[in-house]
Amino acid sequence: MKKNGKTGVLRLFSLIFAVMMLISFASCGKKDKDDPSGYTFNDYIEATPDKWNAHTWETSGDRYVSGFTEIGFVDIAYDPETGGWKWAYEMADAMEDVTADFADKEKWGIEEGQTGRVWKISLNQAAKWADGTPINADTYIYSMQQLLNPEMKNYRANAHYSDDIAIVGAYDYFYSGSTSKVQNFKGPDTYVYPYETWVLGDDGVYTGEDGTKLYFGLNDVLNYLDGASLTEYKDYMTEEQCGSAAYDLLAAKADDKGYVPVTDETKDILFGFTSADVWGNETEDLLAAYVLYDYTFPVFDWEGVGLLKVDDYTLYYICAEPISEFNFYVNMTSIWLVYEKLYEEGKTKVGDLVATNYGTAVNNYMSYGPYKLVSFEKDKQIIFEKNENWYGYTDGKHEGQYQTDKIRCTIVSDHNTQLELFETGKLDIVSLTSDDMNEYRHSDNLQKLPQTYTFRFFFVTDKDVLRTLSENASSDSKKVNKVILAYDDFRHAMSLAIDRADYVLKGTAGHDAAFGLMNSLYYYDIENDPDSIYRKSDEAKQVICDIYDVKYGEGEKYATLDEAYESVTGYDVDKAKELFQKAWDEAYAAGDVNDGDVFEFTCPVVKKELTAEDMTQQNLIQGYIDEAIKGTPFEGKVTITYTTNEDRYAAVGEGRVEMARGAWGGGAFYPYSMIRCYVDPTYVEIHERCGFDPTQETMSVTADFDGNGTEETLKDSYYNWGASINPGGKYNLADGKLKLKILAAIEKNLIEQYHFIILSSENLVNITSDKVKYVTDKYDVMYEFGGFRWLTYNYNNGEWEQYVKDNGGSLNYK
Amino acid sequence: MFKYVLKRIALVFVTFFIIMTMCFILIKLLQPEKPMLGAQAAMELARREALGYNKPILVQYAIYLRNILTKWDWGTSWEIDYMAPVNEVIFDRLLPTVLINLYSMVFSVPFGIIIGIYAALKKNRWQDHLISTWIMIFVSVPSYVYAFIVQYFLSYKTGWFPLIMSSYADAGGTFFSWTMFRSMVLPVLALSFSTIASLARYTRAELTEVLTSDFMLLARTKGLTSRQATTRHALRNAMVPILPMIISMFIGVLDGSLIIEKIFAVPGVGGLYLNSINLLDYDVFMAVGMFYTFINLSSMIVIDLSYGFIDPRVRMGER
Repeated sequence: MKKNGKTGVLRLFSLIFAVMMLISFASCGKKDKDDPSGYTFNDYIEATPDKWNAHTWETSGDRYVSGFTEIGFVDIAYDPETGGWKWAYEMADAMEDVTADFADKEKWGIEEGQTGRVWKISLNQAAKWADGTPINADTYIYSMQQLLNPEMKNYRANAHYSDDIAIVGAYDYFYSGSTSKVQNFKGPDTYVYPYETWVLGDDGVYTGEDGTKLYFGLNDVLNYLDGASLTEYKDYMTEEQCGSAAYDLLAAKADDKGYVPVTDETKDILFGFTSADVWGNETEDLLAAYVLYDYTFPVFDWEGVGLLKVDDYTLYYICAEPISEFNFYVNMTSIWLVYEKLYEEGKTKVGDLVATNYGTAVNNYMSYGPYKLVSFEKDKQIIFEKNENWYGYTDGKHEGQYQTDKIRCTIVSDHNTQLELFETGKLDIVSLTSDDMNEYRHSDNLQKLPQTYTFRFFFVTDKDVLRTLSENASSDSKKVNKVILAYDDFRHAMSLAIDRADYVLKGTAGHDAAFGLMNSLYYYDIENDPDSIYRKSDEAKQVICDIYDVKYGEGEKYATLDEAYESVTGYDVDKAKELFQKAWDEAYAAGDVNDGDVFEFTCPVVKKELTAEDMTQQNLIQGYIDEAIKGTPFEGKVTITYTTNEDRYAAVGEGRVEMARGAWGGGAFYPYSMIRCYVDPTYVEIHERCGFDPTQETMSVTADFDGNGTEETLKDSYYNWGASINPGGKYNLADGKLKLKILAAIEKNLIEQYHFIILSSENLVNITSDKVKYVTDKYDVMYEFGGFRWLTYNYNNGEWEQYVKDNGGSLNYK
Repeated sequence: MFKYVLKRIALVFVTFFIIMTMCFILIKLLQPEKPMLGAQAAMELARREALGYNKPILVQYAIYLRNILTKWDWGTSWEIDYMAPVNEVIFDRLLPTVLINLYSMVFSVPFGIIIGIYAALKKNRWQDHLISTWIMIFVSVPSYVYAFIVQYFLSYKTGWFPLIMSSYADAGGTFFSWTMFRSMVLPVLALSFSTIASLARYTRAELTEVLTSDFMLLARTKGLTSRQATTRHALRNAMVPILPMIISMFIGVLDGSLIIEKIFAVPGVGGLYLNSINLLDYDVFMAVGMFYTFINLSSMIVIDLSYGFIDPRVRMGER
């Protein structure tokens, strides 16, 4: 019989389907089943970590794997005896400061009387890799050599060559033999080759006194420009702006990397621009700030690096700068170990770079912590099981800890799916959004994890830049005015208009209303006083009371500072109205606003995609502003629109957008370092730099600086005050109370300028399943809720499966 | 015909090269975000220098082309799968996507055609109206809506199927096991509704037109029954525009659905393209883009040629 088309197609499909089914049902492998009497923690993450090698990890997501499979010399652990925290030795048996007794002080540049330079680390002799290979001093030496390998440029090398725990010689070893253009500018008024020392060579090119040729760099980031390059300012370097096509003229003389030799001609071209009004009439000697020069680092042997093997299980770790015991211990909670065989096998040369794929899959990684990686499926699932070679299971020091047998981590990016998995007992923890909070707010299983990040709006306050932005946003039919943001009263009014308590309740998943730059996770002197929470200090409380004008004492509404501080809401619509009116009057008189203007502000808040939560927050902020501008000339004319921007911090800093929302965080044990994010352009790019120059603007601090019992008032730049309480600074080693006063003064002065408006401090909110139990429900910044170490189970796997079944397959945590 | 095919293949390569050049230049114009912290910023800049990111774009492109032509090296992923060759990045994720799409095709093509035939045969009767209404709903509602619906009712509420696709390990170390197949049912269903509806709509429209043609009247007058005339003549003619559509659907099994893969946690290629742009994983972006460009350009030739095989009347030729 002749086949017709329809039956032919159907037969084809039937055949394919049958073959596929046959393959499906015939294939039976060993399934990964959980032991019914065991304890499996079902976790999830939203994206696959792509490298957890201790030398190359970049994001916190990358650390997910090593969080289970690695452990530091010490760990900060919950102490069930005291209910507080303690240092728990893990990969080390002891760590002590032996600087005083160290014999070879001269070789390592250790001055007499110094402490905290040489640390003796007695290694845990029971430590092994997951395959049973012992871990000894050689393992650490090899791993550090690789971390600092000049050919590899490992992302995490800086932790050991430039940060708190920089090792003597590590920087020189890391850059050994390499040549690169480096910046002449080393800080305000500090240059390697100051302008007055330049020498004009026979070839017409300026050199330093030692004959090193000098260049202007068009494309290199310059610390003097807060991390921007001249190219980013090329719109200012035009005929219209500075009288000559400075950028084009320099570009014509640049090589393919944008380097222009410094000659009389190029000097004049650049000075024509830097001395123009548009650039702030800089003096000629400041040309030195734009200069780069070639520097070849001398070849440096490993013998000069201060990580020494004393014996098979003892190391000396020699720091470049003194470090306190607490800081050293904190930094040693994660270590630099890699497994030599796999590390070497994974090496390959890409361009001029040697890189290794160590720590990117199961077969190129070796665990040494309480758990080992047994399965890693990209974008799908990661499985960890107990590492039977981990010393902690047999050393008698970890009784009752690490009850979990297995961790099954599913990669799920859709939040709705995450919630459904949690409610059907397939996950033991899930993060909540502000929308979820409506349902779970009263759940017994809720966990609130305070974070150090404080969210704020930050602004461009440079009037000229705002004028340009206004013109760009305006059309024939609409006159957009952004210049009003240059008025302090306007920004201050915006701050007072925001009902932060309402905002965090309705617009966030459990954030706290914030009034200062640092929340109560910051400790100003944790080494000496474990209760030294910055936000709870009188100095920090006074800052908030001063800013929001809350008085206390006799004849005032509040009797004590504490009462006054507790009363602060940061919300004062009446005062906001007054300030809006004042800003209008002042701007109107100056011709900066007109009756027909509309005040439309674009506010990038995230990199990629606005969420429903972002839109809720936008609407809330708009609502507060609308309420506060009622009855003022701004009524109905101010709008704030949330948008996305890949690079919003730089966009505001460079004056490409007028405001953004963002947050700084981290460094909870050292707020002095944290404050540099707001005042030190050599440390980070200052977000508020378009209108605020912390190296030039000054502030005063009143304190007993010389310790003679009387207070003095000193004035200096924000930058210098910030530097003064950090390593190398004038008051770095001063009494904790003096540093605290300076810190509080910087915070107060910064907030009072309203270059930013503080909104909220972040809290993550999780909900945990009934299956698991954390050791404490009281959050502590040191150990959170006790962590995995002390996680226990109410049900084993079999009992949990039955429990879920008994509840109809769906659990109610609401 | 042979010359025509050769000409088309040559054009494919020209088009491919133009698209590749454009993609390379455009993605390289997107500069990675500068790291914020001083020492790390310096190191990251040095790393980029070593990787050649600071060379002029055309020089980078020349190196890129040279590596492809001399070593078939399409580059390395630095962000999505650290240091993995980009072909591995793609092929590691291709099988789940292909399987789900293939199951969906196998399920939805016969269903779609049968429903379309049935609606055409019952033209303007209540069955036709009912089917047409459903078709309109399924065509116009996006597939992620079905995804949420089937996930909620067939898994969350009833527990009949897993909420998400099984892992390789949980499925016994194979993609071809009952556990894996069962876990794929929901994404397959979610993908199938719109395919079924589209096919049913086209089949109905084509068959309805053919059934009213003169040659069908001739077939009936020469003594064929309605069933014989429909299966032997009408269906064959109606299939001419539908079969290329099915062919292109099969070629499309390589395409991932970003949303469906996200909802059902399918480790497929759906999000790869977008991720490579977001993370500025240049080589992955190029490889994924070129892979799909090649697939699409090739499929266009296959589809064009398939018309000739299905219906000899449209064959190209010259005397």
